[in-house]
Amino acid sequence: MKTLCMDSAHKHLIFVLLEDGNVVASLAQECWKRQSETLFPALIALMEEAHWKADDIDEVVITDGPGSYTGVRIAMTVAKVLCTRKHIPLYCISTLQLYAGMHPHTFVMLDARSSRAYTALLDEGKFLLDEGIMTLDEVKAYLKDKDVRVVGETELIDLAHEDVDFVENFQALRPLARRIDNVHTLTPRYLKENDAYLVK
Amino acid sequence: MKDTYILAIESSCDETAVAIIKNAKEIVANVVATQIDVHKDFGGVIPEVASRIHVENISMVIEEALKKANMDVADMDAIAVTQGPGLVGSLHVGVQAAKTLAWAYDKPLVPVHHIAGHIYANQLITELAFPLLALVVSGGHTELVYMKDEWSFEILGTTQDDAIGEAGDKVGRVLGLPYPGGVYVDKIAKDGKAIYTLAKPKTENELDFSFSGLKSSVLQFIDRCKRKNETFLPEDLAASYQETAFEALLERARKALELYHPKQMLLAGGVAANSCLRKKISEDMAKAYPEVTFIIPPLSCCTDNAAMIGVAGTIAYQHGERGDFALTADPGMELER
Ligand SMILES: [Zn+2]
Repeated sequence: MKTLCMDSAHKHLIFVLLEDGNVVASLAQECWKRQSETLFPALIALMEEAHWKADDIDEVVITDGPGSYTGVRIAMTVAKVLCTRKHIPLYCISTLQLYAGMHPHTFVMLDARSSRAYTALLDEGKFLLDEGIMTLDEVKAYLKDKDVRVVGETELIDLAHEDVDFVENFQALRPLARRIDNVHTLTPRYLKENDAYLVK
Repeated sequence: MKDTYILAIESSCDETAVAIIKNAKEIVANVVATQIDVHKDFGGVIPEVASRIHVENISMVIEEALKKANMDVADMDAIAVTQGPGLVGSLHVGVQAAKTLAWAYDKPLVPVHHIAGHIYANQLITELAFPLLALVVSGGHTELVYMKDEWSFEILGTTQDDAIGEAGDKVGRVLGLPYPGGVYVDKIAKDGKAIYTLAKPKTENELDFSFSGLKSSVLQFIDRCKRKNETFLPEDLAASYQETAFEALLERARKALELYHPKQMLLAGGVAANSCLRKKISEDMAKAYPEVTFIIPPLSCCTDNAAMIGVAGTIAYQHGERGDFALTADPGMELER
């Protein structure tokens, strides 16, 4: 069973190639706003390294948001087209899950601009506090009396930065990924759905 | 000779479109998912909304086109895609989809300029003959393009400010007409007479265009009427606007015809659907220049679609144009190279 894991939703470009759950090749690099031109050259290099052909892929796992609007659309477009044409299953995890991995009691915060953050509290990959948007002041207040690990763009609230092992997290979260029944109708979860942007 | 099949993707603005074209002139499939009803509610295209709908539609539109053609991606000779110009977020979706197909099926990737597509849409109805003059008119473009040969583009003149379609949409808005304004301006102008004098567009280069002054002139006219408590017929103002705008267009086209003596002159782009402009070219211009063949595309070829990208993409493919996997959307892509 060959699994292609892909994320371009936020500031990184991440690939993990799994063979029966084991990492065969991987890449996790900062790629802010360059995912569009970098995705395929990077994927092609990894596939060569792993001696995989496109037709070998049995399933795909991606992050479906939140993140940058363009970023989240890049990997999702690739996944939607690949999975529907090759008739292979597509699974999704949240970008915030990818940051938290299977660690216990982890609060994730990603820059949502305008002094806000995409936030969630997770425990071993499961949501204790649902994904949402908080102002940075709300984040500080929320974290005040909590004993949790904080990952993501912690510098926004002047917390020390903790490195995230995206490759390990993707691998560990694979069993938790949601299977997408109708790949054609899949859309990113932008979380910021103000009325002007509501699409009927 | 072996047949050439190209699958083409166009997503530069508010249509998610996929087509399959045989031998650069036959439409095997042509699917367009239009967003017009959504954008009507907003009174124009909101780029972020357009991108969201593209990502929602893209895989389905590809599947529809293949089903209609009863073909598989493996049957294609190449994958063509609009690389630009257009809305960057919208272009990204089409470009990634095209790269996915090219990668997953090991097919050449052919980037296409949107305007080359509009020009080559005419090859679906007639054989193009060179040298050729193309008058490209749309919501984003107003250009005179000279084509000495099959895959050569020289821009003789371009707009210095608004595109003609943009100006028409704005005039439609000040007249209280629905979106897209230009279409409704054309509609009501049929019941009006061009009796008002509006500012004639002037440009430094005699083949360039300008429409922002004319648009202001329409606004000033309405303000003056309000101030003086005078009434006017919107139909007459619409007719006057169209007369002034299209005369300015054709004045440049006539100059280009006299300077370059092309065999054909063709009209391309969304505004090519305008009835007043079509009439002026097929009647007045055709009479004045009997040695030139004038080509007016059918209405179905004027709006954005992928068939036109498929035709241009086939010519580009035959001329050896290839994109690599680092190809990305180019919102300001140049036609000349
Ligand atoms: Zn167009």
